[in-house]
Amino acid sequence: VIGAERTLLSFLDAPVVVGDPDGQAVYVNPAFELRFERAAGRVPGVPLAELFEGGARESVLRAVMTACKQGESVRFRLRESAVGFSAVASPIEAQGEQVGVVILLKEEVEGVERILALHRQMEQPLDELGHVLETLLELPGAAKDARLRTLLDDAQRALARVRKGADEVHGVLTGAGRTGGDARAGASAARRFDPGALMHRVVGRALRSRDGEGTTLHVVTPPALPPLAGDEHRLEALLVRLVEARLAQEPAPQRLVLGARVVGAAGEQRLLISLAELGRASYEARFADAPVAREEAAALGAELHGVAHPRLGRATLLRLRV
Amino acid sequence: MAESVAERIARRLSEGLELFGEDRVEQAVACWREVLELDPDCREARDYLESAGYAPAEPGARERVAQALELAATGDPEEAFPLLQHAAEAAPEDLEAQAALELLRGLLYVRYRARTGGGAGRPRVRVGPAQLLRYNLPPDAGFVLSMVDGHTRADELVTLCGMDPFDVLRVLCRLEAAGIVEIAA
Repeated sequence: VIGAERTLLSFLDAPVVVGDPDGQAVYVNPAFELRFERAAGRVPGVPLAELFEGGARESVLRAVMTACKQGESVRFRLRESAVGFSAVASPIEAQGEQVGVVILLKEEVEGVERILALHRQMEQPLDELGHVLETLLELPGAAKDARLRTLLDDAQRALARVRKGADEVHGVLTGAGRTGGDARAGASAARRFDPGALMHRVVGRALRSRDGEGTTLHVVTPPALPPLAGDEHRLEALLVRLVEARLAQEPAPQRLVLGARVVGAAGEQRLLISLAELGRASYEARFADAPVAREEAAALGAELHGVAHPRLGRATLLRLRV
Repeated sequence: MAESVAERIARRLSEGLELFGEDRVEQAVACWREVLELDPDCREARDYLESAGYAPAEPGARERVAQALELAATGDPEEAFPLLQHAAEAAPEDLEAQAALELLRGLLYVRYRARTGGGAGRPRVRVGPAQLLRYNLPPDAGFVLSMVDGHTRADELVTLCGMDPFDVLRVLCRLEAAGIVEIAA
């Protein structure tokens, strides 16, 4: 694409800018001329930064730099003359070398900013709803009311799905520096949680259960565990269910130990969460948690394994990706 | 009617294949490993694991884990601990070894808690600095010992050290067993 020659890009309704590796504009299409009031013939050689103003300039330069550095497309947004654009900056490669960058701008539909505003408005009530559900779970008597517990667990899972959906909408509309599926992955990865705090919550909920009377429940976890990505409420519900199943046994176990530790080298780490029940156990007890937990563990991307010894007790282990 | 072992093996083999087909490799591996627990000689499970790039547990590994648990049950759990720890470190993918280690850690943790007065005991150094130098203490023991002042409770030491509570209590109990510290109620 050279100068003002007519190319396929000339027929696009969306503004397009092509830059060279030195950050200078090489070409703008007629749509760009029209929207940004720049004569195509005067653009070649002009620094990309000079084609835009204010915050738009910063957005463009950052996106171009990232696209060139990472060698992949970067989605971003900018405003120019009170008009919002969603944009994609993509590196141009020829024979394995980066020879430039092409920026495609698309005028945003009127509703995008409104949707983003609605997303912002939703965040607070969603947080409040989560807090209300947590409070209900901690009310005296809630722990032993199986029906209520099931309903609240369902509500928490539904809330987590709403949050995930809202985050995905936000990710798709803003790009968050990524494209398509990457943006969704980014939104999901951003929702990380502290497994140590989750384990203490699990024990707090179990201790409020009358079923737990006579059982001492220990939590053994290092002070700092790596944050986990995924469905926090699902994991919490699974652990609560495992602990409750132990507490509901006749006779109730005297001691339970909920532990966590990290194994594996950096980059390949796994978090092991275990529930050990000390005392006597049959060999078959190693499989006792499987019906309760296997499907949930699989949905969390975790592996489940049980071990039992007649005189030591049994332990169920969950292995999760960090 | 309860599922027989043979039916369970067939079901888990099949579920593993389905999961593998869905690219849920780790869950598939868990299925096949469960089959090997039920039938260590199951050739299909071994083949599937090898095809997925996961070696079945090293021959004899299961026996060593079982022996270590037996030692913990009939002898001294402290002696069994390094055996299981070594087995788990040597085969981090072996969930049997990891789960057995967790069971033993739970057992020992409860004992350590009891020996430290439920965390309320106050460890105190019993030997002088010169005598202390004669012990070739590992770094974690030296670190924990540096915080022992006769006033700080075991629970507080756990918090101060910033380490796994199991490791801190284990170090304190081993130092006590070696006569280096005493733990006052």
